[in-house]
Amino acid sequence: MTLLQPWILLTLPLALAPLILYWLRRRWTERRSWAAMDILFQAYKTAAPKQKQSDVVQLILQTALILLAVVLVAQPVFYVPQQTEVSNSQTDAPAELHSVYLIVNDASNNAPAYFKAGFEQLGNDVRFDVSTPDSVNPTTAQNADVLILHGIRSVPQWLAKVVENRRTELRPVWIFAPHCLDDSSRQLLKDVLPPLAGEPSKTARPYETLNPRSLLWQTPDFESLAGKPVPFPSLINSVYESTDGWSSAFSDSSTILSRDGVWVFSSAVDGTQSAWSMSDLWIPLLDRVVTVSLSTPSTTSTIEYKPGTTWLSRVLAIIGLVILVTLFWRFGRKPSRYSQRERRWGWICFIAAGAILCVMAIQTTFKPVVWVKPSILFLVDDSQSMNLPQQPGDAQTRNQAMVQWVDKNTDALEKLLQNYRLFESAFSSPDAVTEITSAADWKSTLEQRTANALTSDPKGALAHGVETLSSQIDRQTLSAAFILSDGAAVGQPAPDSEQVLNNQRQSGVNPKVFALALGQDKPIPNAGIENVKLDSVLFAGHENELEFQLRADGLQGKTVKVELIQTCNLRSSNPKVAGSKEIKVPSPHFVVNQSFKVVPPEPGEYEYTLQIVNQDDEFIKADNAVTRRAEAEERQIRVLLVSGSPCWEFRYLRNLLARTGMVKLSVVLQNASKEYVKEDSCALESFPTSAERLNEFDVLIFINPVLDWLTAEQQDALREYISGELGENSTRKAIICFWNAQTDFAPVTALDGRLIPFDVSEVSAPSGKIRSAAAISPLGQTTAWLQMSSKDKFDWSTLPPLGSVVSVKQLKANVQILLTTADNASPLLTVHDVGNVRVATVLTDSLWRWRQGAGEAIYNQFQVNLVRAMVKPSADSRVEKPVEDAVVSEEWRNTSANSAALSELCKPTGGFAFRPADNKSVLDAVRPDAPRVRVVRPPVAIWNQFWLLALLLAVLLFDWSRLYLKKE
Amino acid sequence: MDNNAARLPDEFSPLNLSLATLAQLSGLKLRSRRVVEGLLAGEHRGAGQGLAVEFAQLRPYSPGDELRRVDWKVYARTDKLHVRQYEEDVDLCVYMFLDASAGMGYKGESSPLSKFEYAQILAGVNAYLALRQNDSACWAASGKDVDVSAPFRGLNQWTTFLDSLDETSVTNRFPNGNASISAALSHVLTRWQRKGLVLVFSDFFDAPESVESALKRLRAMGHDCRVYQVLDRDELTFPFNNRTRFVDLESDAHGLDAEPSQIKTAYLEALERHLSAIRSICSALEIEYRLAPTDVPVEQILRGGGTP
Repeated sequence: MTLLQPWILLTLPLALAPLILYWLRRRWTERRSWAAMDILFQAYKTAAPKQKQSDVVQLILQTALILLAVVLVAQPVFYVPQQTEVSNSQTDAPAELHSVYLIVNDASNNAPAYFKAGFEQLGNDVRFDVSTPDSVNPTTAQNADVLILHGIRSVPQWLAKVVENRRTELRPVWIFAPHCLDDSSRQLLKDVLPPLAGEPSKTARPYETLNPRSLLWQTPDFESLAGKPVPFPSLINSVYESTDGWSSAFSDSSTILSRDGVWVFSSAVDGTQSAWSMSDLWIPLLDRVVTVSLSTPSTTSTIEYKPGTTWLSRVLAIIGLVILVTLFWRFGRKPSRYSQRERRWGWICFIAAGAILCVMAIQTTFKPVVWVKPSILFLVDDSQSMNLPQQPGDAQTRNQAMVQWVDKNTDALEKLLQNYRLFESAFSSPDAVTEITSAADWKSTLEQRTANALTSDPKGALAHGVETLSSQIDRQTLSAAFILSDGAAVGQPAPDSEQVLNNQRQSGVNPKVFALALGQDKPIPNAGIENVKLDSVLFAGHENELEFQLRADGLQGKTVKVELIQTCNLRSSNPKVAGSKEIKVPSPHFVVNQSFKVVPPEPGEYEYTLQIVNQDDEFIKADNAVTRRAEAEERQIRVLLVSGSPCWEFRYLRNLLARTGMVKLSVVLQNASKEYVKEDSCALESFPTSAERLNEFDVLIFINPVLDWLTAEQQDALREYISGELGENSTRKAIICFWNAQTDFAPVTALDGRLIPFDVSEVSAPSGKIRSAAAISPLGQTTAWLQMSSKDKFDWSTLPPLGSVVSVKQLKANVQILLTTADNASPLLTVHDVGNVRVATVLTDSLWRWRQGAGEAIYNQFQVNLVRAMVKPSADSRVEKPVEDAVVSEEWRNTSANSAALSELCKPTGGFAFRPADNKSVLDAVRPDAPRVRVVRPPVAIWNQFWLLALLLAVLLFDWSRLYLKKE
Repeated sequence: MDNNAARLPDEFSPLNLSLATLAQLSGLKLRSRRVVEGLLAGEHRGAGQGLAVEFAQLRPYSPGDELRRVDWKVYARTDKLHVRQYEEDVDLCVYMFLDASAGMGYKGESSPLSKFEYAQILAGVNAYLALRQNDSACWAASGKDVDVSAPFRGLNQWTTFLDSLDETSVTNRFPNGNASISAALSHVLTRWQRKGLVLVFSDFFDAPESVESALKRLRAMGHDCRVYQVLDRDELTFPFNNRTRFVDLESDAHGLDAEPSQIKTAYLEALERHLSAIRSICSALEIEYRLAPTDVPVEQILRGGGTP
């Protein structure tokens, strides 16, 4: 038994209330002059001692009564285990988990995987066996440390016996999703299952009610768990919500029931019915359940929230009643200090206190039954596609057609409002459900609402709208949902929509779905230009490619003409047509990638505008022209790539830079044969030996170079290059170094230690199996050239993991970190200045791994940007960037309505979809005279209600509080 | 009478007796149940026989008797000289003793007057009755000192009586504050030698023995006596709820912290015992006893309607 229990701690101070009131009363004394003092002294001498005793007795009784009530509220502390004959040496240490036997109905279920992963994460060396009920090994089932029955339907008699034996031996049996059991199995397992709804319970309360909170209350690591972005209460609530749906299976609503080693979990752990397995709480919860399950019986008695035994409750109730009777006697005796009226109220209070105490002691629960109006949810599509014409060429938009339909149905809606509660939710904000109180007001709201949302997913809106509304009202009352939409969904539906809908159906929310299908299923004529890609830095006189995507809806058979207009800003030259294309549209939904060759005649700033001409019959013209700016430069970046060996990084980087038009590449491969120089047109015979020669290069790239091999002259030249002793007119230079984890930094240090951004002594020993993903640093997030995507924040963790990384703990001062490893243990890309040289250090030579899968484009973009950025770090406009703004709304990519999708949503529920032209009223879908719905609210455990304790406290302190108030 | 009753209305005094109050006393007369001594002929039976209309007895003549008192008709019948005697009617002297100790200054929250003020009214009204029937009245108040007034006679002296009475106030009984009513009354009786009617106004919160001693002495001197025990309603019912520190009016040194609700019953029982003792003493000494709660109209008290 422990008194360190939340309820006890919370309510214990209340027991001090009588003492405090008594003390306060003694403090407040009136002064009164009196003549008959002799008589008063006589009276005092006679009566005071007896009255004092009586007051002290009353004080003790009231305090005891409140303490008793506190204990009743928090009575689990009085749990007395059935078998306590355990030596003390065994009580504290839980048994170890060595074997788990999981019996699942379907071996293909996800549960085994979740359990196995869970036990593995707990760090136990557990033997984990799985079987179906038909192939159970009785010996294993009997001897396993934990036996788990997961969602099984049929239990053989011998298996029930095994379970019963284990219960007798207090060995853990976990039963998940007991509602799956058929009647005969349930009968077999009746002794280890809580009573089902409607069944009389064998005893008043055979099972103790647990919940994740109680289990996790004392989890030592829980605080660290709560340190994650999700705050502690949200975690708990998520568990509550996820496990709330199962309670209808039992008369005693609870989450986890436990008795004598048998744990009944209402929910399944399969990833669909329960969020346990998907939440961060699953592992700590599993850990806690394992610990508690395997603990010896006397240890389990220390678990919080264990309810008391029935006999103890009765004893407590009897004690309480005796105290109350004593108080009755004291209060009711004559002569009384109270008037007749006060005594009457006092009696009422004490009788009420007795009733409350009895109710608390018996621990009844009650299910509130209410009759409420059924509800209807209107889901209004407010996406941009609702601004499209109702029909091609029609002046009325889909949104206007919807408002018109609502206007027509105003009377019907007003009629519905008499017997229904109507709610409305917009597609763009399914979490905000508002109640409709007047049809006319709602129509006005719809008229004023701007359809500018960029998303339209009828299924997702239905799922989340229903989920939100069910959380706000009695879920059973949601009888219908109306979707007012064109059904045109952009992209894939929200991935969890189906699961949300399934969860709602399982919890009894299954409204009929009706849909007002707006628009036509054929596309609105429209052509648009998208995904224009043009380097922001072009090279004068060289061909540069401008890519774009032409999208044409409803223009099949027609020809779309696209022109490229070039404008040179520096010279204020007139725009001129730099190219033109005529593209024939073969299908209603046509998307094609096209490109123009752009050749800026001279250096300067240019504007390139792509525009569609002569498409008068299209509705959306905003997407007909896209403009991009670019800067044309005269010369290429001169790069010298030096590598010790032809490693993968060298090969990929060499090829990339060789085909990049803006780079003039030279290569030195130190350990290559002379033949290589002949084969590779970029190859130099040796590293330049003079500073003048080396100064011809803007960028030096070293990939694991063997600097020992450089001659003294070459080293001097490099030293001069680094030191920037090249004269006043020399330009900014850059060095990019790719270091391998095995690199010996001694030669580099000897040459010029400033090249290395860290102290060599701080380098940790390389680990052979390091596979680390990249992550961007806070500084990197503000660096333009590292923004790989202009639309979204690029997730660097999606790139393939790198190979070994030089493990550095401490960097030199003024070194900027742009990329790190994902675990933030080591920098990956740093930049610092040395003399006239900007040095970029890549602490791995395995960036080429990014090329695997979808990372090739990112690899290319990163390397090219790196070279450009290092040469002119401030000129971010030179950095290649993809499309800047989405001129065209995603909503307009598909202008067709999709009534079929709406019908598909409606039909399984018994509803239907209709068009405005069908002249169907809302009354055709729902009965206006629907009766009220009988709702049985979740059972409320009376004994656990804090307000009841407060009420008890108030009535017990009636006399003192009355005097206190009177005094006030 | 009208002139005497019409006192200044704006002058605050417990003795502002209204005409209505006095009118209610029209049928009342103040009479002594015993033989009293008077200087003037009056309505009350005197101690000796005198010249009056009411025949008392015949007695044998003795030398020295006035010859005019000889009943010659009896002599003619009996040949013996007899002297005719008549009962002597004298005026009544009404003495009023007011307890002016500090305890008499108690005034309950719901009471209109303090006990002493109420006693003053009672004394004033009794004086009115006495003076109206041509009796004499005087008062004495025992507080720190004992004040004794000269006798007042005639209804035209009533206002003077009231004025003199109004000047008294409650004080501690004696400087040492521990003298009893017995001592105070003994002191006064040395001044009141002539037999008369003594009215005592007090709360009698003294030891019953002291009260008995005082009254015995009073009776021994041949006075007729009437006792008014003046009490506040609070003292009779003890209606307090909140915890209270009771401080002795006679002496601030005495105090008691008590929960009124806890000692109420015992207090009422002790009070009843005390009142019974006072009543028993009065009954034994053939003294008329009247309980006078301060919230009961004076005419009701005078007509014997006080709360027992």
